[in-house]
Amino acid sequence: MLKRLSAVAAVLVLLPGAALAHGPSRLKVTETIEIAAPADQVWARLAKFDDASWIPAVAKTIGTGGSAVGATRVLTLKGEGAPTVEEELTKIDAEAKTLTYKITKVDPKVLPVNNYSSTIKVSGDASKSTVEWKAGFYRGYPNNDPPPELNDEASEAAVKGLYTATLAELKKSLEAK
Amino acid sequence: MRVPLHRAPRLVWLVAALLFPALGSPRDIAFVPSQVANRVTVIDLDSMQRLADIPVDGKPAGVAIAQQAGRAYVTSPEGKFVTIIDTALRVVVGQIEVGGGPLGIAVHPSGAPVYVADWYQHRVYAVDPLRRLVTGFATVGQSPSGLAISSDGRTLLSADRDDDQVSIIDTATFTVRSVVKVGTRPFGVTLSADGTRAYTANVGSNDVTVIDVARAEVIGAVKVGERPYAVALANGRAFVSDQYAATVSVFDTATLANLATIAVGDYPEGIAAASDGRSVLVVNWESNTVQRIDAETLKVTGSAEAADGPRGFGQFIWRQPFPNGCLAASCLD
Repeated sequence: MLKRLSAVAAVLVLLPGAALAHGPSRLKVTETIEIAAPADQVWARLAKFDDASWIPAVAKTIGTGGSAVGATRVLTLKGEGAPTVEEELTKIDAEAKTLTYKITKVDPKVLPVNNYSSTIKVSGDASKSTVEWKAGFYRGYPNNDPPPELNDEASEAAVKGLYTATLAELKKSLEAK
Repeated sequence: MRVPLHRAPRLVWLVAALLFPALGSPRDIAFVPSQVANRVTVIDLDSMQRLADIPVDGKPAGVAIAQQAGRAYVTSPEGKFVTIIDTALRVVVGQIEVGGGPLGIAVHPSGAPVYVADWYQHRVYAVDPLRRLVTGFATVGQSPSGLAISSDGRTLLSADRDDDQVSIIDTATFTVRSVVKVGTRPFGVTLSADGTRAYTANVGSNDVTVIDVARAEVIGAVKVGERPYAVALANGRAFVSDQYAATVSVFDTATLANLATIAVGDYPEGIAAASDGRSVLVVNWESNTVQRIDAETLKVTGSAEAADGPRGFGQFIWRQPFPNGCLAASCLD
């Protein structure tokens, strides 16, 4: 009986709380890139929360609330099954050219993260810019002793891969203009 | 006979302080686990100078200080152990295997036992820091995170995050005396100095629940910023670190009225009151800083860098009795 109860408890832990449950070690990824384009122009490209077309992995963005705090967006990704990621804008400061958003819903098979929050910051002048893209998140597997595809290293590698590829593409498209 | 500096009777030190002013006056030193860097950053809170970075493996997160013994106990949830640091020497002097996912930690005011919350096994362990052994456990709710112990050592509180409750543990029998339902996903829990009130930071409902500990009843709830993590008490006020909002929310503990929202670094987590109650120290995980807030004016009055990903989850401040006194027991030979 006790065994069965604990099995039920284990399932319960994994189900309704899954969105908020996570392991105790929060991870960090920071990627930066220099772009030979005015900071205002780079910011203009990144600041429209309802237009994530600068991320090559994104096929379609449906936004609600524009680029105001509390705005949400659903990103439909390229690839098999057209998976989606749901995000919410939590902070934006046009003067400081920085915005912060969080993922409110994602399948860990698509991006192996929990409690993911991300900040983009543009600095620079009229001729060149630096984009810094930072993420804070927990690994895809919310419990102890994770499988290799959902452990800290895999989660970090996935975010890092997404950021480096996306920033490289951003640089290419902005410098081509 | 060699008498370790921190174990000498107080009178001896009072006399010593009068005779040898060069021993210096007591000061607060922070021991902040920096989880990404696998370091414990040591900061002098008077000068806000970073003094040292002590290597500690296993993604250290939680911390508790044994004031008299001069020990910092640091949990490493990935490493599944507790690291013992000599706070005067600033070196690792031992490690205790605990298993599971040790996160929240508190130490009995007498210096032992050390209590460790296991996030995954839903238990609180009692650990003997001298024998370096787990001596027992109390079963609590799901994913216990923060721990707090009363200054008389009789009552231990566990914030059981995934059960939205606080377990009140009688340390004499080491069993749960009562359970109080609080807001959604309580993470940090803090007790008032007299042990009558407890405050939980509820990550899921963006509020702080205030508990009457003796009656095991909720007194009230106070709305704070997004994703509150932990609470510090100073100057009749509660200071709450709001992770997503990057603020510290302040409310009056008597009236529960909101007083201020202070902008701090990004992703503030650990927060603790200085020993004189005049300031509060907040640890910013994203910014890699520790900031000092004046508990009266509610202004940020200082900042220090920490190693990458500082969390400082717990009571991370040690009051160093004689900072300029010898750093080794050999001075009393």
